[in-house]
Amino acid sequence: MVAAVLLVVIGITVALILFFVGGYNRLITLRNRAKNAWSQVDVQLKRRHDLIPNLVETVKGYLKHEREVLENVVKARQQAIDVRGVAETAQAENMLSQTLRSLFAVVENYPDLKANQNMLALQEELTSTENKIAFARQFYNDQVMAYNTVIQQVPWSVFANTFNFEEMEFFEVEEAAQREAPKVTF
Amino acid sequence: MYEQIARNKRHSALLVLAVVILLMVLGAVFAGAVEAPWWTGLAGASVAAGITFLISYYGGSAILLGVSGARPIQKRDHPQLFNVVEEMAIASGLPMPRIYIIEDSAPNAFATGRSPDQAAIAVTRGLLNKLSRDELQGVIAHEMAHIQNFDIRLSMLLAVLVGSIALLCDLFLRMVRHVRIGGDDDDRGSAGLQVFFLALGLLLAIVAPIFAKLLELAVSRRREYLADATGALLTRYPEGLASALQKISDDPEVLEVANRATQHLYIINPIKSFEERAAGLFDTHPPIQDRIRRLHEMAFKGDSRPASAVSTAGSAAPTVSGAASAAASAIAGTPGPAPAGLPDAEAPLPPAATDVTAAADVLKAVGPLAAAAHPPCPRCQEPLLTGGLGRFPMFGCRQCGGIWLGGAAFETLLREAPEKLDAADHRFPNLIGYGWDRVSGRKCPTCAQALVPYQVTEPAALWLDRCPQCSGLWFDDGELSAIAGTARREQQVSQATRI
Repeated sequence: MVAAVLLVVIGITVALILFFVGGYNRLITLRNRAKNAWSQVDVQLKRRHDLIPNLVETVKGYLKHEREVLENVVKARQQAIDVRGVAETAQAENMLSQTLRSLFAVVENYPDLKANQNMLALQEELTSTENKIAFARQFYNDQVMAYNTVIQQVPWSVFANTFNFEEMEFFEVEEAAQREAPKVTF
Repeated sequence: MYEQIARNKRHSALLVLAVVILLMVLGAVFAGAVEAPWWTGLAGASVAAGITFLISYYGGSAILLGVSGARPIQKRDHPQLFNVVEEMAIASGLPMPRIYIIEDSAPNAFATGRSPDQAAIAVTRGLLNKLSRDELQGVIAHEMAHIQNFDIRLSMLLAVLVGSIALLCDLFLRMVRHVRIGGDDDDRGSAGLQVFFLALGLLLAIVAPIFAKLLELAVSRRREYLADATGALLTRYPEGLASALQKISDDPEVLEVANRATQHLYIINPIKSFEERAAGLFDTHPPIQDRIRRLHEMAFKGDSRPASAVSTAGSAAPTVSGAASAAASAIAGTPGPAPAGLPDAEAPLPPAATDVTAAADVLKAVGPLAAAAHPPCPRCQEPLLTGGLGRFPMFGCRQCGGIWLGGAAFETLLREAPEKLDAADHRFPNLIGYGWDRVSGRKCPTCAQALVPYQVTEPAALWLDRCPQCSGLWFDDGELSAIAGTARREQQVSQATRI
């Protein structure tokens, strides 16, 4: 009788331990996935930063009278490189996107530049990089959501507190700022 | 979209299970009929299926690519294709697949490979030449979805199972001639049982291969819908794939490298011509129009990116002439099979247009448009999306964010609901970064007339492009919002002072 009770108790203990070890590992997996997704975003952001000097170099010769637009792009790029943290990065990158958009709006007025082979290739690369950033961000946010959802749910919420699993930040885009039409004088 | 994917996966699993059970039952019954121990038939069937599966598992994709004449490419061979695939790999979180081009002018594509690490995507030259970047992205997303959902492995598994069933039945029908009822056994009961198994076996041997094949095709069709849905989830823009499917299915060219053995792989069945693509039991793919309709429906569910909230008019009728005829049937009192009205940009898709006057309005407005379903954008030549604003039709450009509205529609909406105009502008974000420049050579999307500059002074001062024939107006991204925003503020002010 005692032996039977003991067996049951041991059985339950082992099951509980297995359950929590499994849960812990799952949290780790989810967190690492989200972190890895962030590094994907980071790779694409860096790529954009790397493309910009090339773009400025190509455009510079043509845009003699729109120095300001170019300077804004360069400034926004530097800012985006300097910031740390998800929310700050998001904000700086949105700024950069906006300045790039104004630049492309200006480029529209230069048919020679628009037809430039180098410019065409750069435009495809920048468009694609913008897309990649958007898709990487989407994937990152999905992973963060999966992770955050788990650590907010019982029993993992208690567990997450004890073992310091913190909620991760979403990469938010300021929709309003993104949609703002570029202000171009003509 | 998520529920659709989950349900589809359940159905696929059930169908595979059904085929496996069928194979096992066949093995057991056939063994019973020839008086062998029941498990010998079962084991024999399983071993044969296993060996075939191993061969196709490890050699299948190389054979397929070889048969189709696909050639591997690097980034410098086609930067855009490479970029689009890379974008979709990032969106799905999968490793980058190998990319192949098939030198064939018919537009089509397929994915292959036993796992995401081993995957390859092949597209034809015709696809690259005929589709816009967004459409290409939709197609690649569909193929990526096949990879993500392990569809290639599933269809391979099914093909092998079905093949094994056919083989088993064939074998049984040959063996039956040599069976002696009762055998060496004197027991009449056992002989009776054997006759029963023999009869059952014969029946199954004839029916089972057909049944199994039907199941396989059903799974194939389900997986196509699933891949469409998953792909839409990746791009968050179902319209891209919908428009690509329309283009591919309208294309008269026939893919020369496809054959009966490879037809199920492609994004659209390459063998049947457009008219023959009915919803038949023996089809590897679901009917295109149904796929397009489902994609349009997805576009109206709120969880996509803003641009996709406005999509084509009648959702099962992507051509405007279709929308017009659907609207006509609504007038006659018989609601068309598809939502006929041009739905409000903000409202979810109505089940059918019941408002007769609205339908008549639509019909009148759509009249001159009937010639072109997706006319080119006056500004960037990208095919325009058709949508509705209130009861007025509207065109929007996905690329430059511009909007085309009828002159009367604009006046009415500006007076009655400026907030709708404002919202409509925000639904088409500017992806290129054009400004409000005046470009000559712009053509009216409805009557192809050259547009003339047109100045608006109230409520905001702006130069627009206007069609001298139909008096429609073209708004570059932000222009509509600038006008409507001012109008809305004025309205609010006048309301406030009245109180």
